[in-house]
Amino acid sequence: MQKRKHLIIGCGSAGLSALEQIRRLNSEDEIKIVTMEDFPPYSPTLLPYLLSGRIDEGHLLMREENYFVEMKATLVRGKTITRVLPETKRVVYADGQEEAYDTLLIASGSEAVKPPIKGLNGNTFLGFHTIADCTKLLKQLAGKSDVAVLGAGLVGMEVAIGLVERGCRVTVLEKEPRLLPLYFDQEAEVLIRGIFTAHGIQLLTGREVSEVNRENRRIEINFARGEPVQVDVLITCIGVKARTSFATETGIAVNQGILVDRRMRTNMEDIYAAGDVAETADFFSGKLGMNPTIPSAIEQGEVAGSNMAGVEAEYEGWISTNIFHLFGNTAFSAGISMPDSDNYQVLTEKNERKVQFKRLIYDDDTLVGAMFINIDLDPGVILYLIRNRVGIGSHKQQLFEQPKEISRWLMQEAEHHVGPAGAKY
Amino acid sequence: MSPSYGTLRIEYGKCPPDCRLCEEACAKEKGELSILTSRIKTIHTPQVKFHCAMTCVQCSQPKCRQVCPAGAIEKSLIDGVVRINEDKCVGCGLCTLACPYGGIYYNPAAGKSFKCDMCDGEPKCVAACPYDVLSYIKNSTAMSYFQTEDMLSHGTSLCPGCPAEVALRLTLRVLGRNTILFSAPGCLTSTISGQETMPGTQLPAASCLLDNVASQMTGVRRYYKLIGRDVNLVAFVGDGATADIGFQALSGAVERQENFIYICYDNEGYMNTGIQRSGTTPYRAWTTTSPVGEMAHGKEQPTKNVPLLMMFNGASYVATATIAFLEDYVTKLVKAMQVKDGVAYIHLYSPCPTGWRSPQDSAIQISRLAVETNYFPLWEAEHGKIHLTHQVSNPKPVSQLTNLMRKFSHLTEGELIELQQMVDSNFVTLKNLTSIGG
Repeated sequence: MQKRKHLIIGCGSAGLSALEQIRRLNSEDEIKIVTMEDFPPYSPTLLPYLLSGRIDEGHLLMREENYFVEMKATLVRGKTITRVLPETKRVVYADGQEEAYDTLLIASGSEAVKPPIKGLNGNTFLGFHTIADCTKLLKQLAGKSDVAVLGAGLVGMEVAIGLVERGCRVTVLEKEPRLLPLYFDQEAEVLIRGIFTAHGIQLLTGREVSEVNRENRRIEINFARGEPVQVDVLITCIGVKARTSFATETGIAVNQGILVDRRMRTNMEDIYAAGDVAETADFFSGKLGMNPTIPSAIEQGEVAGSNMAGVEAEYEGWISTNIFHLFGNTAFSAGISMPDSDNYQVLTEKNERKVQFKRLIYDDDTLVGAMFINIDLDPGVILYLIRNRVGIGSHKQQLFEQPKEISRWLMQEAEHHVGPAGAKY
Repeated sequence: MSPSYGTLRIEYGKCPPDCRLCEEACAKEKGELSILTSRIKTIHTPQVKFHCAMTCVQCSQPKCRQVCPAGAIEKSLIDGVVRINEDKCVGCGLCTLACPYGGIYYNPAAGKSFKCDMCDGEPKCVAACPYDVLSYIKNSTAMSYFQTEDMLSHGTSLCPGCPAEVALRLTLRVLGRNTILFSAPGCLTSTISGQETMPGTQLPAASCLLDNVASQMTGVRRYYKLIGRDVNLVAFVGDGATADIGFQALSGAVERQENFIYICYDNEGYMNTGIQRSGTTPYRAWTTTSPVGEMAHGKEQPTKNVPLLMMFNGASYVATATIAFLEDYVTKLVKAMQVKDGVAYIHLYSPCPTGWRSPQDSAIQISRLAVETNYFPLWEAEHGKIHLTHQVSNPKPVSQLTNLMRKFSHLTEGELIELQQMVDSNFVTLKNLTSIGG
């Protein structure tokens, strides 16, 4: 077979995962990976640690320097692709230059969302998604101590922790009534809230920001209801959106993200998408949706890489999952952790004094969701039980009482009796 | 070429209740105050009567490495161990989420992940386990040959699931470049000699006739003797060329004490020409010339035991082998290469998914069961001194083997008993020979 040229847009988790998979399948095809970043490949997940001062820029690198040489791939840094031309199988760079491809993977990731709030503009808006954002924030923080974080999602809370570790006074603003609304419900959130409050973070939840004003050197934040808040620095972390601008009017189907099938193919021939930019199948329902996390990006990149290299592979779908370490505490949620119907069996136990919480959600014979705070267990093993639809049988209560031991046993049994493909045993 | 690595083996579910010796040894070695941060974990769940140890399985494609946003996890290409660079680890915990096997853990006090590093080749947990539940398997000789040059061409002309190609590939890796191959008409002819203008291997190869492999080898050996060069002469031919058509040439060469290695891959019939019976086709097995119907019920004669004949014929070295016991096979092949005073004969059991009507992914399973049922015992004879190279403590019933292939699906209960009796009596004969040979 003739050598082909794979072009990958974006050098994040999905792009690298695809690159590695193509090489793992012994393809000798040409691979070029283009990133708009000037900086060598890094993960935004590390930025809060850079902010806190726990690591410096040298620690950000996801791969060793000679990695791309070993992978026989060309990395192009600091170049932006502005348009894709599916008919002629070419991409167009910002400088007008064009480049041909045989297969294209769009793994351009996501960017911080700027909410439509009055007064939130170039002067007051600062997202937190790239190293440039982080550098800008660090500059603004010089000599300042009052910081507001808008948005209490995972990134917002990680940023809040980073800022506290830097010695800042932090206020978190969230329009929803609770923190981490996508991952924890009211019952569990109370414990997480307690941990943040104990570390001096002011939490203003259920308050929608109506207007932002820069006054002298301070920023005044006004709410629909209640007293305004004044801070030195405002950072906005209300979420991310897929970076799809180059796909508009190209015929590539885009909803919230670029729509792909189980093989990570877009509607255009030989164009694939994976990672934060892609709208992909949910594990349970199969419906398309966004799940911008590293584990999903890795899996999707792997599936895309296989198919690009000519080996058919299908994506099983994403399971909403998150693990969160906060001030020595661990919070973990996976799958359908907040069921909205009565068709599930839910076991819950909370210990406020010990700051512990556990919940398991069963659908008939299988585990479909879990939520734990400060419970010692292997999150990956719980996920294994969900992903492989391991039959829990008569051990539901035991799993709830001793989640660490029983989950390990169930995983090992499944591995030994049905093999890694792991259906019910 | 991927190197071979040491393996920490855990006997599944065989730990004594509440034993935590491995955890204690690990914590001590790693300077931990508590077994909570031991790199190996025990699972004690008396409610389901399960007691076992578990730790990192050192995956070949570690999910923890892929997911780590800090690039802090690497799999060593030297010893295969997956290690965390503590300096780089930021403690995000994504690795604990990515690992499905509970092999990587998070230490909240340190804010870092930790995992087993196999104590760099001397696992202390193994030394601390008095119950033989844990063992450390060092690099196997067989696996180390996978680092040597692969001299078989890419692709294969064989049927799906045929193990002969794998066996030949490994055989060539062990033999090395100083080798001349001999093939006879059969399944592997084009694999060895090539097709059209494409060579099959990177070695010189002679395509012999079915009846003259050993004679041709004799001639070539004489020539090399004349010019004073030592070279491996190796036949890799089927059971038809060995047990039937080429038997007199082989028997004569063995008797004359010619010097070459003769490997017979035994797929128990003429599979290449349409699944006809051969001398090694087993009792009652179906082939197209030992059909099953009203008049006949498979082959009516028992197997011709070629390796024993070769031993009594006077071969310097005789061995049986299968690809399910690679280490055993490689050891025997290396011994065969050292023989300079006669014929070294290796009888390689080679399941044929097409002709035996067995699943395409079953060749290794069948090979293993053939040994474990004593249907095909592993033994070797050095100058007539015979001994078993793999002892089977509790032989499985031969029905477990025959159930895996449809060539035996017509067996009546009585025929199965007859077959079992033949297996048993052949094994007793062999056992008696080992006690005579000492």
